[in-house]
Amino acid sequence: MNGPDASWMTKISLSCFAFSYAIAMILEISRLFFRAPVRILIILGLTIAGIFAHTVYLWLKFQKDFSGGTPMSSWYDWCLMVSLAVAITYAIIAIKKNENSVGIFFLPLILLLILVALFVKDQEAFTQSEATNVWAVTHGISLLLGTSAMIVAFIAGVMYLVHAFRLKKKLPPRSGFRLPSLEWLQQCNRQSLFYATGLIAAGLVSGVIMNVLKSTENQTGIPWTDSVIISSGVLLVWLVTVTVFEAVYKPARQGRKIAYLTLASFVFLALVLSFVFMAEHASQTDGVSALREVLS
Amino acid sequence: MKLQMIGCSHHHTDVAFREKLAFQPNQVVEALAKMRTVFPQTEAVLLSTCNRVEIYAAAENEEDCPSAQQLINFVANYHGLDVAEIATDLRSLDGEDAIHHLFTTAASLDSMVIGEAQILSQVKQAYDMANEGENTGPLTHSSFQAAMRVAKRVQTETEIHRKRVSIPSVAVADYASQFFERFDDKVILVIGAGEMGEETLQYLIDKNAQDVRIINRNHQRAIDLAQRTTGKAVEWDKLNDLLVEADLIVSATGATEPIITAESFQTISERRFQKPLFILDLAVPRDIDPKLADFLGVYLYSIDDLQQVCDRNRKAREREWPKAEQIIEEEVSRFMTDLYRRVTGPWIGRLKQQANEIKAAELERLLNKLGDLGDDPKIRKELDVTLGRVVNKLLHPPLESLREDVNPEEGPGLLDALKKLFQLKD
Repeated sequence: MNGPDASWMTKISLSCFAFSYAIAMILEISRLFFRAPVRILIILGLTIAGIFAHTVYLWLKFQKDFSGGTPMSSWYDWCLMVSLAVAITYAIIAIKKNENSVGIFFLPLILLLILVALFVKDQEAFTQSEATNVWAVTHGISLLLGTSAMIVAFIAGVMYLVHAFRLKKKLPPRSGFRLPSLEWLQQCNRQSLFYATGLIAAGLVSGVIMNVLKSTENQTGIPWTDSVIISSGVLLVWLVTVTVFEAVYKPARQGRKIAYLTLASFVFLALVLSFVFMAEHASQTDGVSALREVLS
Repeated sequence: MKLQMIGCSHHHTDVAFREKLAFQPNQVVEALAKMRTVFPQTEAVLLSTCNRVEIYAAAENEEDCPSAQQLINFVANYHGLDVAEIATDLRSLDGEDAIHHLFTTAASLDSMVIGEAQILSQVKQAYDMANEGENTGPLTHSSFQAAMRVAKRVQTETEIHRKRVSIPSVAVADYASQFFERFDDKVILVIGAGEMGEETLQYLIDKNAQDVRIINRNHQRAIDLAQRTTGKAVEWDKLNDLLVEADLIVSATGATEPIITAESFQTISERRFQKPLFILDLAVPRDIDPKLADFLGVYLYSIDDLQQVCDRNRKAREREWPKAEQIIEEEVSRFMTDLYRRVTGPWIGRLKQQANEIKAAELERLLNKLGDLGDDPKIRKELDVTLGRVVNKLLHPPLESLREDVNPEEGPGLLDALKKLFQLKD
């Protein structure tokens, strides 16, 4: 990838894949207004091109950061990785369900994550810490995947509610706005919420362990009364409660309830993440920077 | 070369009339065999569906092809009917009009439900039966194969077939599929054993529905329907238990009062734990209390809700009509041109042969007169070429006019003129 043939790849910038996703989104929206049989192929082509550019961009950035210090160790990188994970999920769903308008729900969130990445670009990168690397990696990766799963659950939940509303109101089917079946959306919603809960719980628990280790070893841990820690704790309790509620109370598994629970969970997660961004939490805790130690 | 069609359809005749003329599959075979006896030189295809009865007859020689009246007599005779009783309601078309009608019918533009897919398979089946009975020939082969090609072109190039217009097909494909990803693991309850319920059930079975319970006040009718399909008949007193288990309900009974009321569903709803329930109430008057739609997780659709979609789809199909008609016009024109070329081809050959015979005779006479000079091969060849060029130059303009005449309406006129002018004989 560093050879002369791959030199064009170094010219890939954030705007390349953001532009691809944006055009794909415009084309998805145009489904509402007119029919064009080749459009889905163009949408898929643009999305896959975007994912390719996105991956190359992150890979080159990883290599660059790795040689110069801490790779993938900023909220900017973190947001871009989450957006890539969501974009890949979208591409898989769009290929499987190419008659459905799932892009209208996925692509704006992917672009929003890229926008958030731009907002937090100037924040300090996470610092290195040799003592906490394993727990930090677990903490960072679990939260990254958990957040991605929660975003997918959120999108599926929103689609479920929109679809259920349309069906309950007996709105006639629109050829340009077909959503996956309620059954599929409910399953996607439930499964994504289940995985998100597990991954976020793993991320938060590993964060607690990391903080305990740091506090006992060199007293550099974050105080337990920190707003991020408290809100994370509340999020964990909420997610566990939702999971238990869903497992024990039968109606909670059905349709709209699970969708509402997912929406609430997502809002909760978004609040916690905004606390984290504001508090620059990871730069205090050495967070994902430990990736480098693991990979080196 | 002649193509003749007689028949009737839902456009101008009622079902009672069509029933009198209808041919069951075994009767089609029998009638075709009889036609072969009565009109031995005639190709024939018999299309009999619930909406139309049509006989297409064709022959290379016009005099071998039965007239419309002869075909009417044949049908009346076969069914033991009075000719006068049916003649006025039967439509007859020939030549290009018959081809246009055949293409329009196969493309489902003449159907009661425009764009329905069944007619194409019925046309194909009619053609296959005629083939098996050895009633077909070059004209019926080319016209029916062209009709099927045209129908497929209309299917792929327009959206006329894409929108569903029958209540059961809309209920399953446009609505049930929005709720369920798959049907093989769903409990489907069919209330009533009537035609509407059965037709909807067929669409669900096509979607791989496997756990189908059929319930009817008259249990025997439920058993009969279960035997015709893949369902399981259940006694009427188990209705409430089935309502608890069901994922999808199709109700189409002849009851005059709702069979499921909001009050009776209250206890059922508690037992369902808010599991989503999709209900298709296809009965008139309605079987299901409309208040059921207020229950959490219940999605209730009545026949009126589905009818709106059917009407909208029907209008969408009508918007596609001009595009489909344009295809038919193009294809009829192409077919008739090809057919006309096939008709004129032998006559052109015959005229050329006649001209060459005259040329050869005149050349021989001239060479004889030339004596020794005529023995010179070089001179013989030059004269042969010159006379050939004269003949070709004289024949070229009329033959070219005949070949390029793309308006088959004028074709036989030109051909007849050619036959008369050059005294061509069969």
